[in-house]
Amino acid sequence: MNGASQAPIDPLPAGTPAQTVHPVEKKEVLFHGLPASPGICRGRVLVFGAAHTDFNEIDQIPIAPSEADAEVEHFQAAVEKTKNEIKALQKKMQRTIEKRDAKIFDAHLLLVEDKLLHKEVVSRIRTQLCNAQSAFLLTIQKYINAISGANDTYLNERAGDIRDIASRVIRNLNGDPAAGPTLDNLPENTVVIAHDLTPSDTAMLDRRNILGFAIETGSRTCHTSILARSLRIPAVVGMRNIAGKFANGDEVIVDGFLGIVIRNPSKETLAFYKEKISRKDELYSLLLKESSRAAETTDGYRVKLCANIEGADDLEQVFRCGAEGIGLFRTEYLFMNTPVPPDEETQFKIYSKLLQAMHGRSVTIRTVDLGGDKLAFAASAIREPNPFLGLRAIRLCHEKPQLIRTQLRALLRAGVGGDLRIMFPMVSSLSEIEELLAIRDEVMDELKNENIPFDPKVKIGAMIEIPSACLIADALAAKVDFFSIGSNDLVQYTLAVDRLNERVAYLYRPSHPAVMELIRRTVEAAKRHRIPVCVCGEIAADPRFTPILLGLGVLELSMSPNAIAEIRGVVRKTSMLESERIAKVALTASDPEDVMDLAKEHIQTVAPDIASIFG
Amino acid sequence: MNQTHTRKDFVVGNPLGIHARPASVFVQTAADFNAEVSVTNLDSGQVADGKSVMSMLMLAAPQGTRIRVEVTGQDASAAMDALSKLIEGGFDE
Repeated sequence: MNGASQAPIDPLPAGTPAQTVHPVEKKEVLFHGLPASPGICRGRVLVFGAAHTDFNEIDQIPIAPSEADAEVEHFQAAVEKTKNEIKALQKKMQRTIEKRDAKIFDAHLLLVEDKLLHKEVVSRIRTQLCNAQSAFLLTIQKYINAISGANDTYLNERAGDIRDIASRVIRNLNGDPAAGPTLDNLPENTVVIAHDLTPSDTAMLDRRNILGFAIETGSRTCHTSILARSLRIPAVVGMRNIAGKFANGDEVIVDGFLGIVIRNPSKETLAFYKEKISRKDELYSLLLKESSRAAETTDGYRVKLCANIEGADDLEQVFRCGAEGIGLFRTEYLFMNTPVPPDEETQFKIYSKLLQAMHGRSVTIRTVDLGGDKLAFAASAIREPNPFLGLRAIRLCHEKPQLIRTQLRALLRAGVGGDLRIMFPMVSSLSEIEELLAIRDEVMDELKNENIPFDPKVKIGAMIEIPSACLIADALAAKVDFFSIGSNDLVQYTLAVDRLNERVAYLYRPSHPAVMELIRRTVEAAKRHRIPVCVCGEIAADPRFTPILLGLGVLELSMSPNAIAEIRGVVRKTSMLESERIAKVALTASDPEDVMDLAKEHIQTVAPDIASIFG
Repeated sequence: MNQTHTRKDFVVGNPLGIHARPASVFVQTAADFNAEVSVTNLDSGQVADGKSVMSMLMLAAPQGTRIRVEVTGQDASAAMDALSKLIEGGFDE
């Protein structure tokens, strides 16, 4: 819930995002999807990524021989325009990226003005008498096919450069608006509608001007949704075939609670949402007033509520919501959108700053979890048929030992400045933990020999997100100082459901009794070895799961900061006795939905105000 | 007119092979000379115009590929010197 920061529902200034006139009537239309990030916003549509989809929709239009000259000129003008665009982009990027990497634009420029390409396009226009668009597309497609056909993943990559410039040229041939707004530079009050937003697209979003987004792919727990929640913008995912139904400049409401998107909302709809927002704002500010109160059940069990964060910018919110620590600091973002991984000093500074800012409160930093749905700087080198079951996270310690060593050095050094805990993701067997601990020991010896200060007592934890880890939790608990259950991956690996695949996303059921049982086993093992266990996945932020997790014995929850106020509210109104009853049902239920109904009922009873905002 | 022709064989040494960036550096270098430049992938037989990036990319030459550079024209030897230096230096990568 994030009512407090919602955009106003008052009249929108006309004409924000690149206005295009389109023939669709101004009638209200409702589209359904999956609620991905709570909140409501109203803004103007920007359809993202359309340039890339144009590719297959170009018609070959015959021209008269007398029109050939004009068509050739049209092509040349588009090339000229594209060149200027690339030069402008190059100039802009030179300031922000390495000079060497800016050279890629030289390559793009040469590709656009390539003489071979020109000759062929011009000759196609003249001999086949077709429009410049199709002449260009046929030619470029030939090159792309030849290059992507190369039996070498690396060579395949190069086709991407050609696709990139090809879509630019085609856009210019079509006379579509110039490069237009990019994700990192959006017009005010923008709602992005797209087929897909990759995690790095989402990370790039212009935070000042983005109000919300709706995409065709994804599920509630995909990384893009998680990021939306951490950005505190409403998002709806898993919407089938919507991209073609919106035009830039359309007025739209995104309801991230219900998972709906409304195009051209009527007066009545607008009034309804205005009311809804003000109620939420009120409740949210009430809940925030309690942020200094302990999260304690009605029968006296203390629950530690921590925040998941992506970068050190979110800290203000972390304090405002009364988080007792950072339960998950993801470090992938340091490694994304960068040609080389950050060096030890850079990482050391970032971690130290974070620890310092947290003033002695616990900070759990997860070592880099590259792979899976998270883009990697190494993505071009490692392309896998099945990345979720492939080389990712700690598994990289053999292939890229320096990656984990550098990060460990930086972390151990930073540990001097506060209460740091290091968490290893994707642990599937005992030997992995043993190896990592051995690496940790070696790194500590190095630091000792180099006379560099570090904290030898930094706690080491295992992220429990693979079913095998749950089943050997006793052996793991004997080796580490804490557990953190990553429920998103645990659900995905237990149920064999790709949460990014909208066709099977309905099978992604965190309340599945198998998942509940794995969590129970993990908690029991942790108790036997007297180590703390935290849940840091999405279910930690879902109030319906609060009683279930408490009942299973989880007394530490880490979530996106904007969820903390309401989870605190639920904890303070729930008893451990009732929680244990609900957890028992969860462990044996035949239908995971029954458990959700039961949990919802519970919240409706104890905290009707919070239940109401879940629609 | 003092036409000269010179040719030389190389093995692509930079780890990433001839991708967009090395190809463009090569084409830019070749463009400084009047001489005609052609590059043959000796492993596949594909021949490329050394002054066209698109053509160079079609060579599909990853690290370890044997290539032959042929230069024809007045400034052939100077062009070959510059191109050799570039290839042997791993395309400045």
